[in-house]
Amino acid sequence: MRLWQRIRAVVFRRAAERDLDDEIGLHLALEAEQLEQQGLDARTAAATARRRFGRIDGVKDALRSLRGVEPIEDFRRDLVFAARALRRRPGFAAVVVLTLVIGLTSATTMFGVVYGVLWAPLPYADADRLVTVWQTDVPHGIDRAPVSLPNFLDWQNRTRAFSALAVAEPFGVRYAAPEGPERFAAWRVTQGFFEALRATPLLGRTFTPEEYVRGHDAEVVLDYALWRTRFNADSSLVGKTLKLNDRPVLVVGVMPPAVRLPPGSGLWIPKIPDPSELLQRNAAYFLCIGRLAPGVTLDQARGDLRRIAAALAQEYPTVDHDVSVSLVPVRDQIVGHVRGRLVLLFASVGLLLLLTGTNLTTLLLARAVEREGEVSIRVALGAGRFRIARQVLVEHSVLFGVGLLLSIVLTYFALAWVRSLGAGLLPRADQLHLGLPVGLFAVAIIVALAFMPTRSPRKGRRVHRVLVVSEVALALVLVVGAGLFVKSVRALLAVDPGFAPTNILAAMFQTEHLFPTDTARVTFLRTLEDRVATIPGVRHVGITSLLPFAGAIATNHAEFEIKGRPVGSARERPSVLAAATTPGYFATLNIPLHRGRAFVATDDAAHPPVAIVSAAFAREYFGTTDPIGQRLIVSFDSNPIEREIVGVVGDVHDAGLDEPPKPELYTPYAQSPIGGVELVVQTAIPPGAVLGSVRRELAAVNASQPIASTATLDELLATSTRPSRVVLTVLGVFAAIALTLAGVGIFGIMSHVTRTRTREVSIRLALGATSHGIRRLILGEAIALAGIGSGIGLIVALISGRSIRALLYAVSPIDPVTLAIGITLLLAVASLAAYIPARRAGSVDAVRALRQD
Amino acid sequence: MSPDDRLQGTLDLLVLRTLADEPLHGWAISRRIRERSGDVLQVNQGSLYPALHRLESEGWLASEWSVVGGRRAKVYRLTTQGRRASEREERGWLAFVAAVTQVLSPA
Repeated sequence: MRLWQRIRAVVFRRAAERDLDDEIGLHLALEAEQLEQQGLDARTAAATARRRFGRIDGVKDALRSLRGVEPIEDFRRDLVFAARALRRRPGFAAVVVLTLVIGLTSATTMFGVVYGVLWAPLPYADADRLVTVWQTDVPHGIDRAPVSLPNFLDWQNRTRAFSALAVAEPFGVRYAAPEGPERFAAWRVTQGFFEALRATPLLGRTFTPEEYVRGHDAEVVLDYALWRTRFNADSSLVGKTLKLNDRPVLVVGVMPPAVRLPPGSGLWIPKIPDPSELLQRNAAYFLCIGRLAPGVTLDQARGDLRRIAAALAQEYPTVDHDVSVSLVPVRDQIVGHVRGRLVLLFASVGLLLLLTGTNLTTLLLARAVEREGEVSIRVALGAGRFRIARQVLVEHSVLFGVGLLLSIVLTYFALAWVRSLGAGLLPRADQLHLGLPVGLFAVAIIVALAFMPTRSPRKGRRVHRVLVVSEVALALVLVVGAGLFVKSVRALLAVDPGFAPTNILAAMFQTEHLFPTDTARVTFLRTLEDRVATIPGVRHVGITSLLPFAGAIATNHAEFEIKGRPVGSARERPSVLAAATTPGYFATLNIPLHRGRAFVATDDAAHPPVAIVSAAFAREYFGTTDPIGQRLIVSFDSNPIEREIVGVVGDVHDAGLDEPPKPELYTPYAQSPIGGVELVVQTAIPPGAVLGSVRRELAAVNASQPIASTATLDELLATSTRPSRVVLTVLGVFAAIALTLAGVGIFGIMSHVTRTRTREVSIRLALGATSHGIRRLILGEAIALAGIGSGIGLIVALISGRSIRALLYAVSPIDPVTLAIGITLLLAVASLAAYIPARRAGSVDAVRALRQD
Repeated sequence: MSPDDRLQGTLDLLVLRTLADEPLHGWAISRRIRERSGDVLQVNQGSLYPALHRLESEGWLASEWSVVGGRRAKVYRLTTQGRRASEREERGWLAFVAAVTQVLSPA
């Protein structure tokens, strides 16, 4: 029979049955009609027709089996039977499905994250040939720093290892929006940038070589996020002009969503080097990318650039003496910093999955034992072994199928949740979705789980012991992991950042374009400070060029030498973090003054240059000597200037709570007016409430000065601890699930074991054991097994602890307190889970139990 | 041995041969066989319908539903493949009959 008929016969079973009835019915009717014509009465005719036909049901059966539907029919019947059997045991079905869904959803979601972030293809053709190139300064411990334009140009001229090599310069543009001036982050890119990237634009094109020529460079390529959020995804924007930095610029293209290189790009503009820039070999703030030439390996390219860097070190000893090159594949550059945490969470979810598997084994074993009675009856009634095995298989398929479907649906929502949770924290988080790889992973896991042993084993007792031990061991590893992160995050949050972050608003400006002269800039900011100070609710106002936790960049450093302690060469001058601040800054952030004085309004260009140092600075460079009155020769945003130290302030954790405070130097803003600054405002009311007033005051002072970004210091601080807190949350959830699964699993196993031991217990009771003794026997066994499990878990935790050391702060991965708490918790859960079965065993009615057999 | 028993082995051939002239439904096929054989061959209905369905599944017959006397009737017809099979079976049967006749006829 043709396939479709076969399918039709199954799918439209009713139609097929009707066809059968009609065909035979017609025969009987015609036969009866003929008999009537021969003179029989209607009833006799019908009866005779039927008799002549023979066994109608037999014929129908023969025809049905010809339909070729028997196996499928059987399956259908099995399915109905399984559904009925499961409906009789709703508790069992619910626990199996729930266990499956918990384990599978966690695992699949985590796989979706790991796959989407670490493994999914990047939007660049041959992405493994795309590398980021960095300057290194090994003697100063710098292994990945931006490059300078002259160095880059020399590399580009001398290397043959790249088919394209280009740099991007961080840049900001003012956009005259109808609602007021705005600032967009931008990158100015040199020729070859898009050739190296090899990403296909969503709309339009990238720059042509002619557009990297002065006078023809008024073009821009937008990134997807900016195009969507700021220009409503208007596809007619390509070909139109935008006014950027007061200059009409033609939009030539829009990049697809995943293209975000360098990170934080909003738009790309052609970069044409200034003649003056070609001389600034120490101005290293360009990000460099390159595409390896065909046939060139990463190591060959690295070797080639290092040879060139060594030659440059000879040619420019004052600047390039210690400079070498490092090459980082673009994938490592984008996701390398989260790999450790993701792998940790993925490994944790693997443990969870093992626990899920263990629990499922337990549940299905118990079910198999329970089924034994039913199976022996069915075998006695003539059911084939194969038929019974198939029945079990179908029942499991139903459970696992339902579990799989629910998990996939839940994974869809979980990934959506991760997308919002991971924004700004997890690279490529916005690209996470429930795709084919995630679906295949879910199916693979469910198949693996389905192949676990589920037949009642001969060596039952040993299997049960192994199950209890592994449940405890697995759960302990997760609980200890979560415990370590709890301690780590608590230690991190307990760190005093060195300032009071509460109720502080920070607004960032770039002033160099609007106020080309230093005096204009100083006057503008002073006026702004004065006006903001009058806003109701504002307590203190200050300005700084370096805000803690805002992501310090290389330009916030100053080189210095102490007067009277000359160093051998310029290279040996120490470099420290440096901030240009107004007098109000220290009060605004509540940074304590330890000695001397703070800055005052008269510390300006007309008065002697002064400086304030941090406590760490004083310790590091003056030891026990009083730094007040000492003189420093400081190169900060200018030629070396001699400054007198007038004060010492408390240390601030600039680079993050987990980094020890670094020596820091402060100069009065009026004596070192740097372009990019943060206005900080301490308020008596929630800081968001004054933002509008701050904007109004700014517009009153200068209407075309945009605010680049705003944040509160609480937010910045919270952001800095967010990776650890998110890992803690996820691990905490995993650990809680693990404890629950272990508890339920141990309860299940012990219940099952005691049930199978009823006979033994009865004999013991008959021989004089007390029910108290029996309870102790069962409970004791459970605790002993949990003890062994803890031991194994402890060893695993100790071994795997080494791999998470880098992710912990101020906690040893073999922290004894955490380990002890974890073991106690597991033993408690195990005894609790074993208590009910133990009690039940103790109250067995020995006589009745023995009579049963 | 009754003629009916002998018939069953050759039922396929009779069905195919009967349908070679025109498409018919099951009852008509059995009647046609009886008439043509002068009431000698009585087709067992219990075998006819399975045979029809089997021949259909082998692709020798095709069927269509039509309405006969106000009732749904499944009308079978010979496919090209079935026509070839019919001729093949017929040749085989004739050869068999000839051989048997030869054995039975006095030397």
